[in-house]
Amino acid sequence: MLLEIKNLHVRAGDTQILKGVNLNVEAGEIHAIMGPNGSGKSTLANVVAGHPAYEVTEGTVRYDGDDLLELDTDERARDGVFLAFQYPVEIPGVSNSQLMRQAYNERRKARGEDELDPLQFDDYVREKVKVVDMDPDFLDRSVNVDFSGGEKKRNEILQMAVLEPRLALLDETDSGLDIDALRVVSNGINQLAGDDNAVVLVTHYQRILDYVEPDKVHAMVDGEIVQSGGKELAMELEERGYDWVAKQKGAAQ
Amino acid sequence: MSTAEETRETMARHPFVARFIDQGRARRTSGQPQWWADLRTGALQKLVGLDVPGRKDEEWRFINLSSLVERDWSPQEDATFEPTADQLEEWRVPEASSTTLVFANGRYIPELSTVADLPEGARVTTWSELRDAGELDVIADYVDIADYWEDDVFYNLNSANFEDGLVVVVDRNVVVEQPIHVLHVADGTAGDYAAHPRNVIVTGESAEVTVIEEYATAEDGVYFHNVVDEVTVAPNSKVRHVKVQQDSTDAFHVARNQITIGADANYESTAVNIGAGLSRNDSYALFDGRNIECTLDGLGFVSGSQVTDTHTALDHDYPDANSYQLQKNIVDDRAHAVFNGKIFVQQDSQRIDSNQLNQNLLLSKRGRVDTKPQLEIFADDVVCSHGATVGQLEESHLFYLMARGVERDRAKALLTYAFAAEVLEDIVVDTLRERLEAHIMEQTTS
Ligand SMILES: Nc1ncnc2c1ncn2[C@@H]1O[C@H](COP(=O)(O)OP(=O)(O)O)[C@@H](O)[C@H]1O
Ligand SMILES: [Mg+2]
Repeated sequence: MLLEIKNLHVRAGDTQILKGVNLNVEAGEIHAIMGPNGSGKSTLANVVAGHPAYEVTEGTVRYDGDDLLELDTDERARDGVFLAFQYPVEIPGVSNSQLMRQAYNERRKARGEDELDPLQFDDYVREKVKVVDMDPDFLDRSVNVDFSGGEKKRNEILQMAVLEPRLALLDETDSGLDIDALRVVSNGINQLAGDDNAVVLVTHYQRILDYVEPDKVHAMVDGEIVQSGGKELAMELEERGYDWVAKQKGAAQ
Repeated sequence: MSTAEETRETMARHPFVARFIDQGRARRTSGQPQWWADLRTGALQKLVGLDVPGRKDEEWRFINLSSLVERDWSPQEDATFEPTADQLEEWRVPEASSTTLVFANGRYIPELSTVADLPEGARVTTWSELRDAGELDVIADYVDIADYWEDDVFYNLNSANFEDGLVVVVDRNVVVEQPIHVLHVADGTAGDYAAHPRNVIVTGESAEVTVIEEYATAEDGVYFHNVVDEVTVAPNSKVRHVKVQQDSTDAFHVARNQITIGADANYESTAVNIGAGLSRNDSYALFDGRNIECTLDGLGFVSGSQVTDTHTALDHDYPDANSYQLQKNIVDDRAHAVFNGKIFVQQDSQRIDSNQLNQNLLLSKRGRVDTKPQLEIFADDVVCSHGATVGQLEESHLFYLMARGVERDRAKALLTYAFAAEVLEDIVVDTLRERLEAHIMEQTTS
């Protein structure tokens, strides 16, 4: 199992956000987690990435059999965990290529491979830039500074393409995109997805699932995954709303 | 006149000053043109009436000079240092390989200096060489030209004691392509010495030159660099001035920079203060004509118990000027950074556009920052923007970088470097800029 989350309870400050999440993701799978605003989707993604604002009060997260919660954020990333942020921050003064080269070389070192020098990296990254259909000028610009919303999302996908993670968590990378950008982002995801890695899409729109075929869809309501199924669950959620699953769950209990 | 009064007039008010008066009086006068002798005599007389500044002085209220003024300073001549060529390797700037002047513990070292390949009409030399050649009069009109420093004790200590320094004179229409590098290297183990470098940079009309003024440490230790720079930028000419101060963290560095800018001229300076236990860098730019552009940028990076204090004063005396100031300070541990930026716009100096920004990055809880803009504007058609910020590294930025696999310390270094880069990126000498960038990274990671 690539990612195995059991009975995960998470708190931020005094607020209990996740209340017993269970999720199993195998290598080679694409999962979609859907749910209304405030249900805890970003929290789940952030906890897997190691965000310091969240405290795990109960439960376990295992990654490839190891206790993921034992590792620092940067160690998780070097081991192949990638989070595409819902709201990527702007970092003035750090260029996109500088960040990606540093990140990629860290990842290579962790895999026992040689680092790439700036020229070698430039060749490598330019191929990846084509995947996301970005202007190569973006490489020299400060990370996300003065990028439009869509450019920031593409930039996250570019970083994912560069780092080739084993587990990619995409937090609403599809939100706010026009159809062209959505195709680009989906294309990036489909290029990455393979037998050795897994993708978890966090979204509350069903539209991206027309481009990225999920193996499993989960509905998250109020800090819990209340229902799981195949792609048809996404359709049903879109038609009937989340109240419907919440009620179903209430009825089942 | 009673004896008591006489004593008061001839005895300095502070032993620190008295010592330097004695040293100045003992200095040789042979080979000095009259104007230099007069400058020294005048400064010695002035010093008798000057006290060392204290916290009660508005200009000095944020820093404590006691460790500087309570020490017995020897003249630089008592602490000679003969560096080897190898020792200088790390500070060599390849772009300036044919125009590098080396001073060691204040003394000019011709054997380690190279001045060649200069265009006709560009003179790169030193006070000592000009004195030996009997040609000091070429700079007579460009020394001690501003009354701004009249009552400044450090300026007068320099005037009473200086023996040498860089001289750059670029004639009308002459463009010096290669940067000029003056490297002051110090051996702090040679004794508690004070050196008073006096650097003079003069351009003719439409001339252009870049000067790198660097202070570096071969061996850590206690010494005192008391520098005066006098830069005269002729009409329509351009001077780029990069100062890099990496004195020993046990040392003291005080600098007075006088910049006089003519009409249509452009002066661009970047002052990087990384070294010294206590550094104080003051610049006064006099806008002496219309249509001037002036940039005074600075970067301070202090840690441990270092203190760095930057004061600038832009005196807009004519209409139609643009001035830019970006001072960034990075403060770690118990260190302390001070910035005071004065902007004067005199009456009738209309259409002045002056931008001043002081940004501070605090890397520790115990670091301290004081910042004070000071605007005195007597014209009405003027745009003056000024601002000051004090902040820490953003946790959200650190998390973003770490989520990409960058270790926390490395992420901090990257972000600190990014903060500094905005100042360093304007340094046009590539190898120097890269060296400083690498230094910032290294110092943050260690
Ligand atoms: N760092 C935090 N501190 C306090 N409350 C938080 C924090 N992060 C999220 N929350 C709260 O937890 C709930 C779930 O948020 P989030 O995980 O962002 O939901 P979603 O991504 O599903 O919209 C919300 O009520 C939100 O306000
Ligand atoms: Mg969210």
